[in-house]
Parts: sequence; C-alpha cells; structure tokens
Amino acid sequence: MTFPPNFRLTLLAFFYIMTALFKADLIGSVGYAALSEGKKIMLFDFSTALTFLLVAVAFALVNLLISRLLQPRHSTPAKLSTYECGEQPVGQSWIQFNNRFYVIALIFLIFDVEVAFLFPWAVVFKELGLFAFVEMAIFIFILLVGLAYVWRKGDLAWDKPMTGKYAREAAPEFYKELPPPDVHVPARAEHVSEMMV
Amino acid sequence: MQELVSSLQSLPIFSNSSPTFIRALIMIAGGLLVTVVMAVNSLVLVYLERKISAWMQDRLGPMEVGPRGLLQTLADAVKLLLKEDIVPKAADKPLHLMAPLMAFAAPCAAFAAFPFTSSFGFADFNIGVFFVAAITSLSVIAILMAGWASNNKWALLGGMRAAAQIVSYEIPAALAMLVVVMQVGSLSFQEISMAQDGGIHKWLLWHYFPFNFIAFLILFTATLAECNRTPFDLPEAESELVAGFHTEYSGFKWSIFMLSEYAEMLVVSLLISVLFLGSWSSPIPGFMNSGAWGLFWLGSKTFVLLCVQMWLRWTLPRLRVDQLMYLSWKVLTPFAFACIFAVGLWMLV
Repeated sequence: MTFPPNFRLTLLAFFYIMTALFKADLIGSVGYAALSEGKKIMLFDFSTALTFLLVAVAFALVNLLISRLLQPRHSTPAKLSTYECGEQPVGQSWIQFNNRFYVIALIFLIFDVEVAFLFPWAVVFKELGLFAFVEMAIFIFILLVGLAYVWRKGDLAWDKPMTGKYAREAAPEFYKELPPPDVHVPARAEHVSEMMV
Repeated sequence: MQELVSSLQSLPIFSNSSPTFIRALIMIAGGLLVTVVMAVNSLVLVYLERKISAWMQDRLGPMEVGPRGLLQTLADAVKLLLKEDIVPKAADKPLHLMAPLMAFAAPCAAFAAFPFTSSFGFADFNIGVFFVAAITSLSVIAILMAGWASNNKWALLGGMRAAAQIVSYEIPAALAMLVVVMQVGSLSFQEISMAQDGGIHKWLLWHYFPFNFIAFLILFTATLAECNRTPFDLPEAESELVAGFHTEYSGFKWSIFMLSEYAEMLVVSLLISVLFLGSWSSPIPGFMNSGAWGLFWLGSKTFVLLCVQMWLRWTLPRLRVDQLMYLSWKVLTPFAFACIFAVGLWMLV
C-alpha cells in the first residue's frame, strides 16, 4: 500500500505539531515540579494561545473570502500551469530529494531533544549548583563528541562553488599545469594588419 | 490581568458574568487586537523598509500616494485584495491553502506569551520562553508545506532550503535563550522582565560580560535567519529561485506570507527586547517606569531592533548555502555552548 506524497507530508506536519505540544507539556510539568508552590499553570494561559491561533486563522480566511468576492477570475490552461520560467513544465517536482537535507534534519533532531532537556536544567541550575553543572557538562560533552564526529565526517560541509581553490581540489586533472604554448605569436604590427583584413 | 477582570466585573454590563466568561471575552478580544496589530504592523514596516532602503540608497522611495507616500502600503494592500488568486492545476490545493494560514497563525499565537507592562500580558506562561521557541518553529512546516504543495521545482527547492536553514538556526537561538534562563531561574517572561527592572545597568545584556553580550548577538543572528531576512534570505533568493517557496502564490495568499514575515520579525524583536534589553522597564531608574509606560519602552526597544534588521538587510549581501550552514553549525552553536558553560561556571564561583 502506498500513500500519496502529500498525505505523507500532512502526517509529518501532524507529528511535528504533536511533538512540539508534547515537548511543551513535558517541560511544563518538569518546570512546574521545580517551581515554587505559589506558581500554577493556569489553563487560561494555553487557551489564550489557542484562541490567538484560531482568531488569526479566521482573520486570514475572512480576508481570503473578501478577496475571493472582489477578484477577477479568468483562468486559462496556460495560467494554471506550473511556473517554470515560461517553458513547458518538465515532469513533476515531487521527486526524491538531496540526501544532505535528511542528514541536517537528523542532526537537528538530536540537538533539539538535547535543548529540550537543557531547559528544565537551566531553570533549576541556580538551586542545584555544582552537581547540576557537572551532570550537564558530561551530557553536553557526549553530544559535542557527536557534533565533532559529524563535523569530521564532513556532513556539515555543503557543496562549495566550483571556483578558485575549491575547483582545483575537486577536479585536479582539469587544472593541471599545461605545457607552454607552442604557438608563434605574431608581432603587434602583423597582428593589426591581419585584423584589418 | 486579574485587575482587568475585576475592573470589568464592576461595569454594569458584566456585573452578572463569571470571571471565566470575562476572561474568555478578553481572550477573543485580545486575539482580534493581535491580528489587527499584526496587519497594521506589516503596513507600517513595509513603508518603513522602503523608506529606509531609499534613504540608504539616496533615493526618495514611495512619494506618490498620500503625503510623502504614507498611504502607499495601504493602496498595495487593497490592490492585493483585488488580485486574481491563481492556484496551479498541478498543486495540492488543501495544502496550498493551509500553508499561509499556518505561517500567519504561529507568530500570532506567540504574542500571547509576552508581558507588555509590569502588570499586563495576555497570559503569563510559566514556560513562556520555551513556548515561543516551539511555536515560532511552526513556520518551518508552513514553508515546507508551501514549497511542497506548489508542485513547482523552485518552490520545492526554496522550501527545502528554508527548512534546513530554520532548523539549523533554531539550535543556537534556543541555546542563547538558555543563557538568560539560567541566570533568572525561570522560563516566565514576566519574571525575566522583573529581574531586569530598575535601569539600564540591570539589563541582562551587560551581566557576565562579555558572555551575555555574545549570547545576544547569537540570538539576534539566529532569529534573523529564522525570519528568512537578508543576509539569510536564501529560501527566496530571487536571482536563483524565482521567489522560493512562494513562487506559485499570488493575490492575498501571497500577502499573508508577507504579513507573517513581518509578524515574525516583530515577535523575534519582542523576544530579544524582553530577554536582553530590559523588557518594559525604563533605562533610567524611576524615570517614566510605571504602568502603561512599560508598553512605550518595550515598543521602542522592539522598534530599534526592527530598524537594525532593516539596516542589515540593505547593507549585507546574501550568504551562500555552504556559508549559511558553516555559520550555524560551526560558529554559532559552539559559541552558544561556550557561553552556557562560561556563565554556568561564573555563577558557581
């Protein structure tokens, strides 16, 4: 069974939002336990954010509706075709994509989780003192070894433009020293007269 | 907030309503206010941006519509309402519609967490910093959706680049925020503001010099990249990618993307002002430091940061992709870790 690609992306978006909410919830509860007694999560705080989100969507939708009522609608097949600099579009663009983006996403994931762990640590750092510092130093050190590994493996280096020293490194045979030209260079006067003809 | 609820309750119309109902009303009114503020904000900022760029390039900028061109952006907004909305036949239509909505909703929701004066904010999250970091990163999904849904090669390339860029810069941004959280011991914006009350010397920018200052610079650079502003505007590099992820957007959908870009600029400037520049407190101790003046001070700090963002846009050339990744992973992230380490060590000593 195969899913259409847009379905997969919707699923991805859904999971991303859920992870973000989960992270907020996790940190909220940990932070809550660490915070003083008088501080309580008010349900209203999150519903305010949700209300703002929904009102913003409603605002945009109402404007789109107004625009829909006012705008001209003269569509032609050419107008509805995909823009490819005036040429006929070649194939679909829902294709396999460069692997580097995937690697960056993976590295991001690791560091994002790490940052999520660092937030509650930072809140209680003042109270816990040296112990918390040493613990977190070890944790960060392990992750930094990971960063160093990825760095050394060259996964953080993206393609550089093919000019100057990069080009010479990438394609040395193309840039190797050529023998001096064995061509008779005409004297200046000769050359000019040649051009006149 | 509590005072606002009780003062509203003393009014004759609300005398029989429960505090819950009044708070719900304030929430919806606040939501409407925020969206209107975002819309007006982008009208003002677009005008400002055009005037600043004109000033920097020794031109006049918009001069025709209204006195000194003041109504130019309003006229542009009306024009955009009247434009035909073209959705390519090959596009994925639901996603194509959802992308701008999401891009606009995320910064609006982030607005809920900020304090505006010493006693007023729409909500005071005890995880405010984390909430803003999480909700602003939703714009990645919006941009990726836009790029993918368009079924256009330029749009997809722009969307992918934007995703890689925004997630890369999220790490140093979050780490720079952590430097502040460590010192204050709270994720609540109101508590971070309280810690900086009482004059310019109390601003966190100067504490633990130079580490907080470096964290401030890292946060500013990283948020600039998250807003896709020049010099980090690779996702919409017009000379190579046509218009990047919004190549296939026209009419009002396109303008919602513009709205969200300026909304995001406002949110990150607000964030930096609250974290490092003393939030709503006056720079001079005891001078105009009460009540609604907080909004004035926070507004002016935010405005200065917005102007710096525009100044940078018209000063620096665009980075290359490899330079972008280099800056994020090999410069900003290690430096942010170093800042956390140094500040932690300093706090222990």
